[in-house]
Amino acid sequence: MNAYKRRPLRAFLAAATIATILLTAACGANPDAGSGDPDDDPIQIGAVLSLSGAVATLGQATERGIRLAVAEVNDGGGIDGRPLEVTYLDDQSDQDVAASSAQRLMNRDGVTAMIGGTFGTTANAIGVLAERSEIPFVTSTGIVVEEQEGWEQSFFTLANFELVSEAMLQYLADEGHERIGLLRLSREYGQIGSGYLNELADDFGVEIVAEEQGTDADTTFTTQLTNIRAADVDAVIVWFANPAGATALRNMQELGIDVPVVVPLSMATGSLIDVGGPAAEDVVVLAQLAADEPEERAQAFVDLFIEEYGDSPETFDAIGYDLIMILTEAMRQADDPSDSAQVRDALESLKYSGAGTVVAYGPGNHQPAAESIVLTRVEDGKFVQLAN
Amino acid sequence: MAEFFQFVTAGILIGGIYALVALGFSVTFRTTGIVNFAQGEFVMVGGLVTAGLAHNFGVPLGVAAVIALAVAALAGWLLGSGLRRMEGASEFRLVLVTLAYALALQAMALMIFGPDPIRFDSPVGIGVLRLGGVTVVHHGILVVVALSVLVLGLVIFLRRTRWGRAMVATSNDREAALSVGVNVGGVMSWAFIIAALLGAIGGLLLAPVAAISYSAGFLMSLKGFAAAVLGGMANPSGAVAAGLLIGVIESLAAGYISSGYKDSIVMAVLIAVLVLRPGGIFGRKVRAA
Repeated sequence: MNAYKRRPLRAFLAAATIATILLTAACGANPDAGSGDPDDDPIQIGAVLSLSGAVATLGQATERGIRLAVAEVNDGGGIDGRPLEVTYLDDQSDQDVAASSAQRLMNRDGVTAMIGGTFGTTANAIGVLAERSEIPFVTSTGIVVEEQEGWEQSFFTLANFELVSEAMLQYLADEGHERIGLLRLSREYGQIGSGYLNELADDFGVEIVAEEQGTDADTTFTTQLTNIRAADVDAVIVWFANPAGATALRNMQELGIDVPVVVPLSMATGSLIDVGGPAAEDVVVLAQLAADEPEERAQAFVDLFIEEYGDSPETFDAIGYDLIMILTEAMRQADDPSDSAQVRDALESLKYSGAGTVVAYGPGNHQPAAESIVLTRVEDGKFVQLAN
Repeated sequence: MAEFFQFVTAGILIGGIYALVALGFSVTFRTTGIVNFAQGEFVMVGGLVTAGLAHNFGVPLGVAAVIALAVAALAGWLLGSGLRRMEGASEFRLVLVTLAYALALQAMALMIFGPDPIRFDSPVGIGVLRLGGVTVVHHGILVVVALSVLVLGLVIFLRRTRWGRAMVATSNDREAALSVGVNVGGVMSWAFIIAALLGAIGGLLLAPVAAISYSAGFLMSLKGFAAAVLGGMANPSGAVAAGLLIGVIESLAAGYISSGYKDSIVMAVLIAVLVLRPGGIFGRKVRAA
């Protein structure tokens, strides 16, 4: 009888002991869950960048800028004492890899915010998932498809096609050019650019009289440029990415086509100078940073960059830096800097004038301001601001 | 008319480089029966190692070029040696090995030289010749001269040297060559080394035209393969002619029809040839291989 009665008690005691041990162990394994101080926790940020593949040059530049900014923020005590911790994943310039990487960061690693998206296609893939997971996403690209305009979570830092097209046409009109030749990429990037340029040309009193296409992989554009020359143009827009765009400039020089050339943001990279050489001289480049003669808002960044890396930054270095600085601003305004919803709301009313971008976001307006665009000219292998 | 000659001139410049890649495809296919999809990577190795050593590490250009050719020859020899050990494997597996090798070379190039495309100036400078309304870049003349010298050199090698004759013998009848004591394995290594050198010289000629990055090889494989098929795969002179032809068709298509559709047009020509003349436009007969 007695033995019977005691047994449940012993079983209970044993179970209680085991439960206590397990609980203690669980707390030990994760000190933050119990008595840890959440105020010291790093704030997790996920970065999906094209560090290899077709646009690796842009992705790697962005990464340099991000690292510089993270070091600056953390050296300054982080956000309310909490450091930023960025997890970098390479999407290999591939939208499917971008999507699975973003998925992992948002759903498994539980990041507060996402940054990156090196070009339109990958930014789009990440953006779709950020919408669904309700995690804010500050991207280093501009809007590519209309549907992105309605997105709640995505914030853009690069001037979109319309702003760039307008700035180009305005410049050409101001300089008195009327007959414009367009050499553009045949892929989406060039196609959308062509759409805007052709649509807006009339408003600025200029005409696209010849339009030719090529691909990133083309090694010569002599044929296309021969046709453009035959159309008797007085200026040429080369809407490309480097190095192909820079190669086209060399072909222009070989053919003796000596008219002013204007190129978009995608060509505002060092390889324009490295590959273009003397053919890149005097080319007017739309950029978001005139690295060798920066505007005031970018001066501190340029100095810091040169001190850290020893060479001068490009637009995408500056944009990378801004991604972190924009997030930092928003996180400082939020009550809880690791709360995705609060950070998103803070982003939506953010005004920021930085190294590579000027933003004044608002509801329904997640795009950078027109003054982000800086007109530069290549002089002695440097990007200098175009005298107004 | 000046336009036409301008288009053709532009086509020959790039076609000459396709021709070198196609010749490489043809040499390895003829002697070993293997379609080597790493062929275009040798172009990348030749161009990028030279440009990278000169640009990133300050090595004099001539020295850099010699090192690049040696690296390419080594890469070719390694691939050939690996494939030698796969005697009897299905063609599918062999092709897969060459593709894997191509990706490995690309990844290594990315790690060593980074993602940026690099170029160097042509030894003949950036000058141009203006003939009437036609602009001929000096470098274009160099491409044509180099192609001619290499084709001639290859012919002499195949006809006059022991290894060359062994290669011809092996490609004509492998079993017979074996039975008369030809070192068939050695021939295979030679074939890959020669193909790699042809590709790498293509790279040396390409880098001054368009900057080269680690990913430049794939397209060269594609265009070179198209030319090799068009020329009849096992037919080296056909490969050279077809390489030049593809360059010219590309250029004419871009000039007269549409620069947007130029690649579609070239591929359409390739499909048409494969359907109508499976032995290639210069092939006299359809080879079973």
